[in-house]
Amino acid sequence: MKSYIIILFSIFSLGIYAQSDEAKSKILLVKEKLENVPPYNCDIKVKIDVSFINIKERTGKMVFKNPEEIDYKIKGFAFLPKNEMGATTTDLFNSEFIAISLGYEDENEIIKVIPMDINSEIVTGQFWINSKNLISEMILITKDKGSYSAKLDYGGEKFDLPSNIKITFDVKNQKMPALLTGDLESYSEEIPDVNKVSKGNISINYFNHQFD
Amino acid sequence: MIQLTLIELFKIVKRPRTYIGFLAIFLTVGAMQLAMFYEGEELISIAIQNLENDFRLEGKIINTNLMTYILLNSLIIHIPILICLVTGDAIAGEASSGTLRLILQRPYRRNQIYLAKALSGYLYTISLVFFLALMTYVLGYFLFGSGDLIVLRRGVTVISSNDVGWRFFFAFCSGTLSMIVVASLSMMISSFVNNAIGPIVGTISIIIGLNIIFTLGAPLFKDVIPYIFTSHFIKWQYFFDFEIETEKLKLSFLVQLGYIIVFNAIGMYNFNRKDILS
Repeated sequence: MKSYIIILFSIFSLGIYAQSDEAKSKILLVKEKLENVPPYNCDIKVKIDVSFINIKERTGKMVFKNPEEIDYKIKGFAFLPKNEMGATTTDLFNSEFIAISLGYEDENEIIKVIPMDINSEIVTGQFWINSKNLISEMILITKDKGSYSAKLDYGGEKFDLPSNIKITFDVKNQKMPALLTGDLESYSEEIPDVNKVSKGNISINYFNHQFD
Repeated sequence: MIQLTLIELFKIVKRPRTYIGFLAIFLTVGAMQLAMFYEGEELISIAIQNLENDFRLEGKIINTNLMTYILLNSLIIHIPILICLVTGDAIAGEASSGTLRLILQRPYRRNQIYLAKALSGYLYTISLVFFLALMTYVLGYFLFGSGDLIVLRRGVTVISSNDVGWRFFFAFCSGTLSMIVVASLSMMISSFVNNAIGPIVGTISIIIGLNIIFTLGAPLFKDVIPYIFTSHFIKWQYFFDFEIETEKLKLSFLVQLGYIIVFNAIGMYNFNRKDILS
């Protein structure tokens, strides 16, 4: 009886180990794809949906040199996501991590990635990987900046680059001092809860890619 | 009437104190723009540090549009002082120097003389606000260039540089209307006294007093505030909202027009009964 239990436990452990190893290989494959993207530039359209920000759609250019070096040349002023998706995922994938497959959802494999470094800014990440080994959705939980998720659409661009990324993130209500803004009427209005965290969205369309 | 107004304008042009306002605006705007040129980034980063925590901000924040918007806030206290220097002196100044008796001996009705003084005062007011607009925009353009305007009012509104022109035009028109209310008030006070200091100090005291009472006591007086003329000094800011509240702007226009009529009516009534013999 005792030996049966040991055998069953060993088989079960091996199963999990194999599953984890497979998931990690898949993530490393995604990472490799990201790293193999050559420098390029493309046109972008940025649309922001945050409760306290009023801004029309912005157009401009994105210059990609590597996942950590992305420059934007926007016509006028624009709000962009603080952490570039590429840089954040590369940071996560470049460190030691554990990957666990959580099963499938709409033909996407869900893989949870947990960094080994206790001081890592990203606490955990969950990725939806499609049959072409591309990230179609991801959620990142950070230590200080809350969580943010991204949905990626692919339009058949070279190097499997996304044609649209919709990033959803946590954002704190903003209340500027009236003396600074000159909005003296705000004294007679109810003060919004500045600590209230709401969800914000930034949608970026990428097109007209030109590779170096 | 035109002749009378031209005579009053001639008096304003000849008076040295007329140029104090223009000089003050020139120095204030120049100093402010230079300070922003050297220290602007640090000052602005204090205002937007919360935004910088959540977003990557792309683009130039400090530009001539932002500078013009910031300097338009001087309409609350600073510009009214400069207006009162001239309009407060219009009747009281002449009464103290004795020339009022001479004017009123001429074959014009007192109402006509009062209106001519008011009109010339309004023209001075318009020229002062126009000079402020010109100084802030032109100097700002040379120092900072153009760009999108970021308004930190009721959240954050970003207005494209090609969409700000008409907003500034109407904002300056709204600001000018508010300043005409100030000119009317000081003219009215000027009709009551024989000392030029009185209308200047009186008008400024009323403006500062009302601003303090209705800013600090805003929650208490929130139903009265829309009908207090000082609360309309910042209505020009409404033209920089993403969705402009036209009803509030119409009400603001009517309230201010009402004040101009009332102040002038009281001023004329008093001017008609003014004793010039003692």
